[in-house]
Amino acid sequence: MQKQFLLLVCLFFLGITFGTAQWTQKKGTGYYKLGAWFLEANQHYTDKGLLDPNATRGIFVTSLYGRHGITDKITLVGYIPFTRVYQNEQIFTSGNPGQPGEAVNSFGDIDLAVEVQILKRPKWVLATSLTLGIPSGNNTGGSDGSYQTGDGEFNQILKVLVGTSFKIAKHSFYAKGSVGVNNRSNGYSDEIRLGFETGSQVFKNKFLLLVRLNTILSFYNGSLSAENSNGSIFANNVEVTNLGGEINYFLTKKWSASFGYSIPLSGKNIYKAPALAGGIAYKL
Amino acid sequence: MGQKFQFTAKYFDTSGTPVDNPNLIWTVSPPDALTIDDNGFATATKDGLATIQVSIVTALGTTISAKTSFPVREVVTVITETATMTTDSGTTTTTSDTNTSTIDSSTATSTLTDTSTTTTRVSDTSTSTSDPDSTTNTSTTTEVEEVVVTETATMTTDSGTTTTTTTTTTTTTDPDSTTSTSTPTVDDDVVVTAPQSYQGTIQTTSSYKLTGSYEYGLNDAGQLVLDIAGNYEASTALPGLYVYLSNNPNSTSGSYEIGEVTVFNGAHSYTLPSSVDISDYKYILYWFKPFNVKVGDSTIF
Repeated sequence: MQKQFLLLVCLFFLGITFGTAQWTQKKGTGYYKLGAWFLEANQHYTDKGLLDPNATRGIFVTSLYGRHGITDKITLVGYIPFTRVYQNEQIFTSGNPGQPGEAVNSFGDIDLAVEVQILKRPKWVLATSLTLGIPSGNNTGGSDGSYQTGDGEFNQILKVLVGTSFKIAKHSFYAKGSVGVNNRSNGYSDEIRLGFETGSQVFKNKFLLLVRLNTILSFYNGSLSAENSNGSIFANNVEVTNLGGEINYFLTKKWSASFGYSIPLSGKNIYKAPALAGGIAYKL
Repeated sequence: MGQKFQFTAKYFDTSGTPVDNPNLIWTVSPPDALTIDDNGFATATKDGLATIQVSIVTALGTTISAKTSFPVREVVTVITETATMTTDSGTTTTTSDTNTSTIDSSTATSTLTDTSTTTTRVSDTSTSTSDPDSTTNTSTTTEVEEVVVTETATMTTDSGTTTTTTTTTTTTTDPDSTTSTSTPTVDDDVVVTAPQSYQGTIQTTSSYKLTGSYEYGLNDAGQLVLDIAGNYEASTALPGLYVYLSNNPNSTSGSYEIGEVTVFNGAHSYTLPSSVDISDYKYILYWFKPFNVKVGDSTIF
């Protein structure tokens, strides 16, 4: 449910952070980011991909993201979120009973990953990564168990990433794509993850502008549902296609600030709401 | 002066128990045909067809009623005729005939295609006295007219409740009086009988799948049961889906929470406590609790 949703959004914003990083770090270098993202949703995609209303819920995540090259070809990645899930008090003038406000604050699911550079050529790079989703969040938060900051399951995401650089009208661009499989445990459906990103540095390389398109497709092979007493919203079979953009401003050669915006274009079992992100990054 | 009527009505709850001192509401149509007080005592104020309706607002806020129509007359007509005849022999004969009539209509109608019968019996009594020693011969004729009106009004409310009122009105003229009293007797009081079960279909009000037939009523053990049929299907993507009984199709305010939905396909049933009466709630609601939104519903009655 929500936990699942959180996981997805985390991964999307992981993608944002990756956007300013190299494919893999050189030995002894690193990229570290203090970031936050936020959304508030009053509608969601149903299991049929249609939009239905819901009590407005919000998610605010503050996170630490870091990647460090232990060799020229191997980079370790970590993502530690601290999540607040909330719902404001509902008051109706129509006589319909409202709902009291509620919030849960806790660590979310931590992601640990290793990236390995497989091939590197002047114009393109091939790499792979393995991400482990640690169930460190709260998957039973709130009075009804739906205020979750983690999914309570162990994810293993294996990805293949390809990147290239090119020029259009003498202006340099980069593009990269990824294909991944998320093997999920505890009865969750496995997933395919597709990603595409392109960007360019502009204004004397003071800004990096990028756009990103991410898709998650479900294998629908999980067993969890409301039928077997899984107490979470959007418990399984989550799908979404998300379009986002990001502006990075290089304050110095080592420090940068970023602002991102993303919105789901379609989905199933997931909130329909734009997300805003921001952060401060340091390049070692 | 007009005809006077005393109407009574009783209200029975769904268990068949008469309710003491029900808050009955009497209304008249047309309004100027009768005056009626809170006790059902009515006086005709004009000639014509009048309709009396008695209503009661139940605890659920629904209104049930029964009504009956009948002809009324405002003024009792007293006709006294005296004829004086003088014979050739000089004898004078005086005849006095007094006729008091209240209802001269031979038919009575009732709204809602009620059955109405009217019987009229007229008996004449004539006495004649003749005194040979007298030159006066007096003859008196008394005409008695009795009208019996039996009316049965049947009305079916929106909830399927049938209300029947049978009223018998007997009117007898009294030649010695300038007034006439007509008192209807209510043979069968207003009886409210609720059905023992309802059948319906659950329908989605959202984008989530939710459909199925049900029967809501008492089982053999006298327990109130919501039986969901085998054609029931609900989306399994909604953990936190609850089913309610409510009197508002769009709110769980004042509703009875049956419980969380744990069956998403096929027949199942919910047994309700004895504190819930079959007529207490008009709607079944399926409510997605975490998001506080309705997913589906059905109108019971």
